[in-house]
Amino acid sequence: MSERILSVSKLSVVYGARRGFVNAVRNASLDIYRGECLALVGESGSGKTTLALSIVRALPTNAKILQGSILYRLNPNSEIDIARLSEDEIRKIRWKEIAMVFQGSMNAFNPVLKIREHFIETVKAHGIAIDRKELIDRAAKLLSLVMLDANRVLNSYPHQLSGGMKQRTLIALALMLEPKILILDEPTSALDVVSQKTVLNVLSNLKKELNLSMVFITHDLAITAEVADRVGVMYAGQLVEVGDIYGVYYKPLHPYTQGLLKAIPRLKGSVDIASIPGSPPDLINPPRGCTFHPRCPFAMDICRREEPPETHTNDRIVKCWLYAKDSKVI
Amino acid sequence: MDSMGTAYRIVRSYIFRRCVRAFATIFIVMTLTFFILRLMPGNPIDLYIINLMRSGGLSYEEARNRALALFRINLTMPLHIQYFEYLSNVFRGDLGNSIISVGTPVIKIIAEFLPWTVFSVGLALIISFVLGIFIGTLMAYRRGSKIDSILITLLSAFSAIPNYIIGLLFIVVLGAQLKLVPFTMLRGAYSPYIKPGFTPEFIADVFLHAAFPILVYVITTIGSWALTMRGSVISVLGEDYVLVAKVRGLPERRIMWTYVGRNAVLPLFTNLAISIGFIFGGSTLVEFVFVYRGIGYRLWEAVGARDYPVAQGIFLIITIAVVLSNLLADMLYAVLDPRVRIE
Amino acid sequence: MNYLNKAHFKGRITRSAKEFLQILRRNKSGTVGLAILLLFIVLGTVGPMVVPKPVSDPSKIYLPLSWEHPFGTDFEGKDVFAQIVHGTPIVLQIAFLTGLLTILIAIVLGSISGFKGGLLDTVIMFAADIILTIPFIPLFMVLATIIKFSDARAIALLLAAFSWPSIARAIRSQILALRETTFIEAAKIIGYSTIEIIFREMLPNIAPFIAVSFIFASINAIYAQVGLAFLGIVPYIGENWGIMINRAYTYGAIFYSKSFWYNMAPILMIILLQTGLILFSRLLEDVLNPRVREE
Repeated sequence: MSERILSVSKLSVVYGARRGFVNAVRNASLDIYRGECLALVGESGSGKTTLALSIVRALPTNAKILQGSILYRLNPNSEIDIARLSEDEIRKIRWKEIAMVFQGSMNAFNPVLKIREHFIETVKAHGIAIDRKELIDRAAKLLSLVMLDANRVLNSYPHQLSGGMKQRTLIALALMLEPKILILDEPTSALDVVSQKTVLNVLSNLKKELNLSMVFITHDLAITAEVADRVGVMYAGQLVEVGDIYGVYYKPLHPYTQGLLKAIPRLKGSVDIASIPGSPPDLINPPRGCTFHPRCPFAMDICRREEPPETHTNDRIVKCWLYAKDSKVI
Repeated sequence: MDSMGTAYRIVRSYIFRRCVRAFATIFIVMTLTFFILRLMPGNPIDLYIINLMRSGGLSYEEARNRALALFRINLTMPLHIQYFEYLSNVFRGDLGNSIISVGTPVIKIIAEFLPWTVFSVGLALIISFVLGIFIGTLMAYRRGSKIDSILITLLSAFSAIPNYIIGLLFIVVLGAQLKLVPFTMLRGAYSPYIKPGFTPEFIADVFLHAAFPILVYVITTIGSWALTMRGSVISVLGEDYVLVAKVRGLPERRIMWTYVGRNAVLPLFTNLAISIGFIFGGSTLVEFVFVYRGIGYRLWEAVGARDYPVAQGIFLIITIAVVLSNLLADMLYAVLDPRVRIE
Repeated sequence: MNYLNKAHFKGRITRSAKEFLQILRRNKSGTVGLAILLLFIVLGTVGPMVVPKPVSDPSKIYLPLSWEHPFGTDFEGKDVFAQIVHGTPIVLQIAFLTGLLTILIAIVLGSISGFKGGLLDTVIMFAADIILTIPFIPLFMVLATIIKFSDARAIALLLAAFSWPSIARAIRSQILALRETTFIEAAKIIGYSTIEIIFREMLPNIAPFIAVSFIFASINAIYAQVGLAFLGIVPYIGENWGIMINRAYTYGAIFYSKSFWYNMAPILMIILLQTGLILFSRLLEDVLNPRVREE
């Protein structure tokens, strides 16, 4: 088992809205290992993006990390808590250690700068002393890695590139500083099927060649099977199930995961889960006890009263009272 | 060969089209001026002839010849020939002679007064633009705060008040009432007792005289720059590439200048055109208020004295100045926004 | 102007009285603008009937402020306040007439441009560009030497001829954008006729902009007519605040401290009116904004 490089522990994040505080992420814990691809799935509003933004501390101004820690293994003998770093300190971590590629990269580049300038300024911003020619060479290599014509792309302005090209360029840019973790938030939702496939191929290659850890956020379960090793399922701001991808998909433990897989939703935007009755909960006033209990076919009395603990089985972590009594409760 | 392709690209290019539009405008204005002069009932030529006949006791023939020479018009030739002669005259810089200051070519009068207007208006535009951008950015970053709402109300109010009124306010309150500023001594573009030249004495004097007109221009135009910039910055701050820049670990300063600043300022250049036209046109009034001897003031003098060649010549020049400034602004925009260049 | 983002709305641009009062309470500066505007309207309509016409009286030159003469008297002994009051109707008339004509021309030309497109669009926009570039004060000055207006209100037409381009441009681009939106297409599919579409769907979106443009055109008209009068280039007779300032200037009253109130009166009136109009325009924006009802 490879080493653990990121450990999110009991993280809670709230947004301030007019009606009250939105509990976007509640008590979430997640580990990421070297060289693996973890898929993070869930409906819109489940908290996936908020969790990711917390890791790079790019939350909007009305959001706040209430509690929890985000421990990152900077080098073999030191771990830092990202949640507690100052703005200056986190700036050094961003992109160099952990990079994040957003969904809809159509507008991810500065319209008045050429692509090559984006690469140059990123390297300069992190104070890396590197010869200009070497810099461009490295950028060109990465661009070929994502299957793009380096010369053409580097000398273009963003508006001269297609959506798929921009997405891949952003991935290349994300790898420029050789980060240990690459977070991709819905990297393929805005793309057509052909570009989707290209991007997924690219990601598989990257994982193999660079021993890169990836967090792949999506609401589309079908795609995850192509690239991910493990999957984490989020519901209403909580991680309800995490485990090896084949294990989870063939034998889902949590009732929500089971419902998801039965419906196999493939729609964009709000996911139509016809087989799970009810609607997603109000995140300002979430239900007491287990958040899923109003819609769960197996809901028990305790589910209505107390939040279930994390149960660790051999290859799975589940947050459900159904399994709490059988296995070790941690 | 690819020469066809290049020619096509040039014709389609933004700059080329803007140049064509600029010249078309100037051309049309010249044509309009020509026809207004000739075809309006009670046109100035006839009036001048009548005047000459009455006061100078000249015969119709003599008066007419004098008038035509003055206006550079030869009525015996067919209209279209006259038109071409008029155009060629204008291109050669011959705009006729002044009626009042007999013998002085209009173009010489313009050369004497125009620089002062360009100086004061140009300087005011730059100051207003730059200050407005800074204030607008500040307001955007402090959006929703008390100072933001106060500034919004204040700036919108300022931009509605006529520039000449503010000028008058200065004169009446600061000059006549509180006797703080000796406005009567600040007439003209420079003091008559100081010799013109590149001496610090003269330059300081020039700035002193231009100070109040510039102040008035800035006060009345800064509001719209600031408010537009504020809106633009707020909009840009919400763009993806700003967030991505932050996540890329770029320093705040770089983001503010190259990401927010350069993108937010772009829409302002389209406003620049309107602002330039307004400020050149409004210079007439402001120069009148402060007796600042620029081209606007001279126009008022010419109109009052019914000196038509001068009046028309100045009007033409002012319009050309506006058109050329707009063209400059357009080119600047093309330099700053790559999306516009490559079409 | 983000009216285009409000893709779903109730299509009502009218408000109930209760809503109106709520807006007044919320938008304080706008309410002040409304009050100022009403004040001027009263001044212009009722004023001339109540206040006697100013008459020169050499015995009353430069009197100080008093109840009888709220702004004192001028160098001829005429009551300054009376001059203001009698100058108000024409100022307001020209201003609002210009505003009205401007938006009418702009709506017609802008809509034709936006809907029909093609050659008509190119021609109209080209004309608009040319007019936008020509500085109108110098043009008016030159024109005034050759043309004499018999009716002061003809100036409104001329002013409108120079104000329509920028507004027509904006209307055109809004129509172009709205044309492509899905709710217009939906309306067409449902079977609404073009007229119905214009009045039901498009107008509520454009209404705030048109109302605000009306105010801005009026503000511009005031700037122009007072400015021209101030320069002494007024092709008509009558009391006009600008003429008052012009007289102050030509008779040297500007620099005379005793005539302070004579100088200040028209200046203050203009500042008050313009500020009132601008604030009112913000209230108008608020009132006419078609919004989704907040649950």
